[in-house]
Amino acid sequence: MTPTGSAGVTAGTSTPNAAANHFALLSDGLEDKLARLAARAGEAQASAVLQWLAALNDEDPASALAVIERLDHLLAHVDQAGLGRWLLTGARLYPRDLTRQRQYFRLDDPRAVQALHAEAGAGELAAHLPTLALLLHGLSGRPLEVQGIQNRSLHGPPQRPILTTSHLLLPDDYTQLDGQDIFRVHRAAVAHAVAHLRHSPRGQPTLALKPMSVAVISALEDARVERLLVRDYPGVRTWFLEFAEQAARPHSLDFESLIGRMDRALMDASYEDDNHWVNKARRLFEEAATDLSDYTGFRRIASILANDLGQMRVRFQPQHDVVAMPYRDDNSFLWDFGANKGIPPEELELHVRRQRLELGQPGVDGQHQPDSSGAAHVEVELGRSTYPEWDHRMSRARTDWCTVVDKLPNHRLPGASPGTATDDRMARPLSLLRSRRLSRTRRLRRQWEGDEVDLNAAVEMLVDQRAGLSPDPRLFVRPSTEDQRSSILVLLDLSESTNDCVGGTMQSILDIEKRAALMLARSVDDGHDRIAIHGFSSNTRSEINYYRLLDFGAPLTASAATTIARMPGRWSTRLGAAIRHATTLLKNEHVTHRAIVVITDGEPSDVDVFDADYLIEDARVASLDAARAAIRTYGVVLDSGAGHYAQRIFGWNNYLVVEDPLRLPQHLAALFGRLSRS
Amino acid sequence: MSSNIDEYRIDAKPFYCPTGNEIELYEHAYSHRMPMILKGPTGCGKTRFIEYMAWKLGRPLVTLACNEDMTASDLVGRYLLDAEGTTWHDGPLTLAVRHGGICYLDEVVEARQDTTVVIHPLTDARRILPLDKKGEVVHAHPDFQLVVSYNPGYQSRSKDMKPSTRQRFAALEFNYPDLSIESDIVAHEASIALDTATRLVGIAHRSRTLKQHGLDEGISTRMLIYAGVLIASGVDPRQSCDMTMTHALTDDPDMARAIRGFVAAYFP
Repeated sequence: MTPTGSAGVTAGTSTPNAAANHFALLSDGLEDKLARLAARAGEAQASAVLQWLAALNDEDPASALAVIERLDHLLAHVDQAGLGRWLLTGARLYPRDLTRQRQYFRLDDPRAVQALHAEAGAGELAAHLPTLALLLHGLSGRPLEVQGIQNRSLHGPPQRPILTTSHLLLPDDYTQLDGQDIFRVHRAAVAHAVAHLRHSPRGQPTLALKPMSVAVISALEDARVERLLVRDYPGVRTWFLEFAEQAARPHSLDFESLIGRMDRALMDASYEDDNHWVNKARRLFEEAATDLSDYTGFRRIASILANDLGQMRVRFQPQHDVVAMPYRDDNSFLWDFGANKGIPPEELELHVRRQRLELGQPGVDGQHQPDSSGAAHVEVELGRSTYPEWDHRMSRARTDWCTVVDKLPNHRLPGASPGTATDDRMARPLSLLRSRRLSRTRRLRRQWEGDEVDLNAAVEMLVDQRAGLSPDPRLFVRPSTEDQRSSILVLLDLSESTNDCVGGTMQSILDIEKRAALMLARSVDDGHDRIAIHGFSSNTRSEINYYRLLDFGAPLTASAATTIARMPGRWSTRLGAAIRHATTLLKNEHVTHRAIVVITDGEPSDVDVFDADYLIEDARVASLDAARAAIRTYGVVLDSGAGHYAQRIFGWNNYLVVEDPLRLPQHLAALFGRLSRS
Repeated sequence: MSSNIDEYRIDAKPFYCPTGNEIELYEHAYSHRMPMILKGPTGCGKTRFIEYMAWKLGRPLVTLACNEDMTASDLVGRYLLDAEGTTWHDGPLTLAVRHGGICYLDEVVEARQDTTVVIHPLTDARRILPLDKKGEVVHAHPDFQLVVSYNPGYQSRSKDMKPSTRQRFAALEFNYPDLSIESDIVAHEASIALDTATRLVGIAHRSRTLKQHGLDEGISTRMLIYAGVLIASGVDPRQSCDMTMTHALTDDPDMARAIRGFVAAYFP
């Protein structure tokens, strides 16, 4: 994902070597240090460290030099993200005091060492994201994506979370100044977002409101919805309270401090404040709190309070204003600033899937631009088959409507991704469950217990009895267990949208799909189960490209793995035709269980279809047809909002929505266990 | 064995809190001795319901938990060897058929399809149970009724019921009760304050929204009662929930942390 921070300088925009030359003047040793880091932790880490150093160098070259000298020592304690947070802590601790900043960066300030150790123990946002997404989904009752916003800038106010109707973006630059345990800040941010989602009206017009009024109304709205949330979830009060205690700075009379004091007064009944305005705010709020659902009542109070602040001549600087509590969002969720003011949240470059290129628009960087004429030269066609397509409006199938073109996978295609071949070491085999089942055909004789009497044993027993011998009591027959054999076809969505990167990492969805499929293929035991990896993408109904990347029974050689790793993501997702073709291929497998596992990142679409339901209905019918041929179709969808269409296509309980794509391999392993014994 | 059908009678009134008119519907079905399917997610009260109905109707309840290893003999009975030779022992189904009990096959789809075929002649107008090994045809007692349960959630397709079996039954669908009813149930069963019970139910509702998003099933009413029982005996609420919900429900560390977050949202 591209970082969306306002002043964000992105890691990975330049190679370490190229950028190192930029300020090699700083230190001769830097290049060596970065090269060592790149060898140890990867180029992305080194590049990010370099970005941080460049940012610090822009602020104060002497500080940057001090940090570069101590770089090995620092990086022995923290990684690049931790280093970034440590730098930010220094910049924010002593915002306008260069001397003390330099002391900090030379590690002469005891707080610098303290902050370094704290960062070393702090959790990464990326590690918390899956939990936070589940927490947000559970508490709010709707699936929202949680992503990180990367910050590479040392100046400017600290970032605050951004809430939209589909995403919650959390800053990755919370430092020890915001909270001792970063997970708690994130957790409170999620709870606050839930409060807005459940109780706030969104996108109110700002109209002629002054910026200060907007800020006061937002602060009061924050307090209102948090109190409503505490009514729903009593435990979250303590999640918020610890930050209110930090945010309230007594005796300061600037706008930010007054709002901070008000926030605390509204949250903490035991807090006492000597400021008239804060106490007035508390009194008015508590009077109105008998009916917390009355949004307009609170808005009226906020107007009165904002008016008072104006009369008190409290200065408000919109460009410097930052929401006092670190966990609260920037309130852009609440407001509609009109066309020319501010950036509406939806226009931020979110990781929004499947909008750009599946509609045939050129790629942003031109790199993944579909190029059918060029592709025709290098791709070898192996055969064509036609399939019907279901038209739900006519309730009948259009015969021979789609043409599936079997093609030889060729990684020298335009737009082929460099792939994950180098990451092969990560593709370690998964531990798969072997399924065992009772078999009526295999019978164990002479058992201590069982369903039926073993006639031979019974006869022998009677003979023994007559002969006066002690009979063998093992008299029964019972069925034994038998291993099941299964063939599973993993069908990868190779459409353009899978090139999108997964929040906060440099990996695309396609990379993760491929890696998961490869891991699964490595883990499958040849003797019992057979696995195939096929992929598809479509360019209208006349050309559904189908690639047999790894066929049943074929060994997973290094070249096969490379071919899979280098398959590009292009064009669209005409799922129904691909399922029909996969069904045809699976019919040749004569085993107990046959299944198609579709791994996709969104609902089916193609450029020649404009009815959103059309391809979903077609895919549904295709998977029903597969079921009639005793082939199970299972969907693994990497889209948190997939519930409604995944259920329609694959049927109740035959799909899985993967919230965290990085955990796809584990989900696949569990799924394989289920499918191979079902 | 045939004499101890009385062991299957339910003496004390089981606690059951209706969520709709299921009691009335069941009574109508029983008055015609119609075979019934109770379906619904695990731990939502299917077994408790049938216990309650057996008590209300004054019938013995013969329960059998089905599994893959189960054979027709486990249902109808078999010859066993003893000192005298071989003797016939009625299985639980035969017992209920002879003496007019309600036979409850729990999780019936876990049994293999060819096993469950033995119930076919019992579940149509014939109401007979042929014991082919013994050479006897048992005519069902007028009070006999067959009830089966299953959870449509996690069975695989091959474990579904055959249509020919399924169509012999009328079905009642169960789900987790509404917030207030479920809170009452948890408060009553675990002997805890209604407020605590309501919070527990709230946690369950949060977890149920994550079904298919990493959880196969949400937190069931039964788990809530377990948690409540521990709380009632003095265990800290968060630890009780950890024991009975979080760890019982998932092994995934991210999911476990999210569920712990739900617990923390209700129990500060």
